[in-house]
This record gives sequence, C-alpha cells and structure tokens, in this order.
Amino acid sequence: METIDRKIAGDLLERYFEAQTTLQEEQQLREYFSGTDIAPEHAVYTQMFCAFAEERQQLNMTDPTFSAEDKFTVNSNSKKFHFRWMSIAVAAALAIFAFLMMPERGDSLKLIIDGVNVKNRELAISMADTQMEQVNSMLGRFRDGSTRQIDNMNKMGDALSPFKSFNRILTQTSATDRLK
Amino acid sequence: MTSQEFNILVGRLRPRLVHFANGFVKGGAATAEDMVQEAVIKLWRSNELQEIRNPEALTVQILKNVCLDYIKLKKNNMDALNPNFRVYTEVDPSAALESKDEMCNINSYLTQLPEDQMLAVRLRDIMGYEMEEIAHILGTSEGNVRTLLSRARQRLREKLMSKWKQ
Amino acid sequence: MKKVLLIVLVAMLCPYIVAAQAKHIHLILDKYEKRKKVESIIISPAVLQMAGNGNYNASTKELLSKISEMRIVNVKDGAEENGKPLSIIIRNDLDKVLTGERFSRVLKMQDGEELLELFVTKNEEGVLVFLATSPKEFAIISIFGNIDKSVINAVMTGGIKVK
Repeated sequence: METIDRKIAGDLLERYFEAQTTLQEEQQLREYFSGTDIAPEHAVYTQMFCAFAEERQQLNMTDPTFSAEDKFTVNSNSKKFHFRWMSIAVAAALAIFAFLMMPERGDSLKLIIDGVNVKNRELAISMADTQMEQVNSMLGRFRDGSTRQIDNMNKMGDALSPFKSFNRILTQTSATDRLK
Repeated sequence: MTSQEFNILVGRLRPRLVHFANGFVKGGAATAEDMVQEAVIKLWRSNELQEIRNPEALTVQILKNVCLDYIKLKKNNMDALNPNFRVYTEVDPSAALESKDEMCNINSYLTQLPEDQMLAVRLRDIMGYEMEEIAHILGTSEGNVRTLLSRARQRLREKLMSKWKQ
Repeated sequence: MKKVLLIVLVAMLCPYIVAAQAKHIHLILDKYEKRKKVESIIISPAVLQMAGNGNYNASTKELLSKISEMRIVNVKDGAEENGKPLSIIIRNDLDKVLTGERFSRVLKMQDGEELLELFVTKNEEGVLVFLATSPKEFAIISIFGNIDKSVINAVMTGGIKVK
C-alpha cells in the first residue's frame, strides 16, 4: 500500500474523527503515522495511531495464522488449503460413491416392505421365489402355447402333405410327358 | 459444528480473544480469561452455533458475548456505585491516576470512555472489524456504531490535544 | 496432480458410462422402493441359486457368475401417488428407458388379465427386465450382469429360480 501525503492524511484524519473512513483508509493512516514524513499539525495523533498499530501487531502475534490484519490473505490461504484437500476428498467421495453405486453389491440381501427395511433372509428369498415362480409359470404357459403353435404348424404341414404328394405326382407326370 | 471442531477452533481463537478482553477487563470479579470462557460456554449452549460456518463468525459471536457481558457487568457495578449517573471526568479515579502518572498511553484514555464507545474503538482500530460486524457484536445498528465511534475518536482527540498543549 | 485426478476420475466414471442402462433401472427402482404398498427385494448371486432341470446344472456356475444382482420391486394394487396409481407412474418412468434404443423387447405375452414382458439390453450392458402386470400387482423383476444369450435362454426356459 503506497504511503499517503500530508494533504491526503489531513483529509483522512478529518473523516476518521467523523468515523467515515474505511478500514483501508485507516490502515493508510496508521502507515502514515509510522513513517517519518508527518505534518507538524498531525504529530499530536502520532501516539494514538502508533499505539493502535502496536496493539494490532501484538494481537496478530497471538495467532499468526489468523489475524485481523491478514484477514483476506488468511482466507485465501485457507482456501488453497481446502483445494489441496478437496481433490483428495473428492477422490475419496467418488470411491465411496463407486462402491455404493456399483451394480455388484456383494453378498447383500435387502428387503423393503412398505418403506420399512426388513432383515429377514428367509422371507426375502421366499418372496423372490414366489415372484420368479409366477414369471416362470407364465413363461411355462408361453412355452406350452408355443408348442401348441408348433403342433398346429405340424398339423398344417400334415394337412398340406396331400398337396405335396399331388404336386409330386404332377411333376412326375409332367416329366414323363416330356420324355415321351 | 461438532464439539470437537468447536473445541479446536476455540482453542485456536482463544489467545486472540483473551488479548482483546485484556485490553479493557482489568482484574476485579472477572478476568479476561474468565470472560472469554464464559462467552464460549454461553455460545456452546445457544442455538446460534448451528449457523456459524467459519472461524471469523465464531470469533465475532464470542466477542459479542464478551462485549455484552462486559457492558452489563460494568453497568451493574457502576449503578451500584453511582445510582443516578456515571462520571467520566477528571474526577474519575483512573484519570486522576493517569494525570499523576506521566506514562499516559492511549489505553488509559480508552478506559475513560463509556464502555460502548471504548468497545467500538477497540473493535475497529485494533481488531479491524467492519462497521456491520461491530454493529452485530454490540447488538446495535451500523449508524449507531458510527456515532459511537466518532464520539469516541473525538474524545480521544480532545484528550490528545489537551495533553499536547501541556 | 490435476492430471492424476482427471485420470482417476475418468477411470472411476467409465463403468458408469458402460452401465448407464443398468443405472437408469436402478435409479427408478431406488426411487420407488420405499413407498407404501411396495415390496423391494435385492438379492446377490451368493444368495441366488439357479436350479435347472438337469440340463442347467452344468452351466449353473457359469450363469451365476454372469449375474451380479437380482432386484425385484413389487407394486401392490392400491399404491398411489397424488391419486395416481403408482404402477402407472413407475411404468411411465420405465418406458422412457425401456423404449429407448438400447433395450429390445424379447417377449410380450398376454394371458387373460396377466401381461408379461421381457426387455433386454441389446448390447450386453447387462440388464434384463421382466414386467409382470396383473390386476393385483405390478412387478418389476430385473437381473443385472453380463446378460448374454445363455442367460436369456436360462431365463426363458425357467432356469432361474430362487431357493
């Protein structure tokens, strides 16, 4: 932060006593008073600003990692810190996510009835069995149905066979005709 | 925030808080250490903790408790001593002491200020808080903080001026 | 550091891109499994047993190794959400996935009031879904894993049995 000249310091001082200065301007004032180029009419306040500056310094020494003076730099530091750990955290989170979301769920068995987790292996298996039985029985009917269809096809083939023999006779006769 | 996180954070913040409280709590019934401790316990018991997300907010919240307790304590003591009014003039014992003792520092001037003004100056010029934060800590409005601060600074200015002329 | 992270990320996400279809089905089932009048069963291959009729005994182990999970969600009649039958809501959700180009309908059979449909992912991404609709209930029976012809065959011939 560049040091301010006497005139600006004078303006800032007036505003300081009206409590209209910003934190940054107050910092500029403290720096002005810690310097050597102080207007004679301002010398009276040197003690006060130097005392504040000293107090602030002492305060910051109580905890170097967290100080009012370094409020912003500390914040950015802690952000960097977070970023570094964030990548690891993200990786860990992904690993956990992967573990949870993978289609393989190990030897797990889960049963939920009406939104309530039921820890009963036998019940779960028998329910799943009933379900599969129903599907299988329907599939069975489908298979029976399809065999019936095939049977029908065969019957149809049988029905068609007279035509086949007739056709054979026809082709045979036409062949003998040609020979003649 | 879990109790563990809270303890770690408070442990880190404590020196700073005690240092701040030391600035104005001089012995008596409560030391700076006690005041901070009490404020921390109070905060832990309150529901406000749920909303606190970062160390800065935690500091502010503890400071708030320290400051408000201090004002209350001071007020009660003062009321007991001076039932009708408070005096911050040359007859103030600390001021008399200070004028006798040539080691006048800004701290002694600060102690002569009304506590809310004193706290405003400390929070602003030493702790470096924004007006808004100070308003929150002192439980008042931003405009009121500006008034407190400007009055306090004017008073300090007068003190310095009168001292300078001697 | 960033590169390593990126590689790790991609490596981790790869299975999901491949198993996206399975994930879609899982998501839908996850969404509805905890509702009232809904039964949900998840069975892993360790629990799952295939008892074929002799022919499949030899390949039982192989079939088992291909299946990673079996999941059944059974929506009973009367399950509702906002006055709408839950079975229809789930059916709509499933249709969005099942009628997509990655699934093909292998079977549809209507027997009176009962309807059985079988959907399989075309490109061996590993989902086989039975939808059994009847007046009493709407059941989704899904099998996840490496669904190839032998699995479909086993399923079609009633080769997959629990117990």
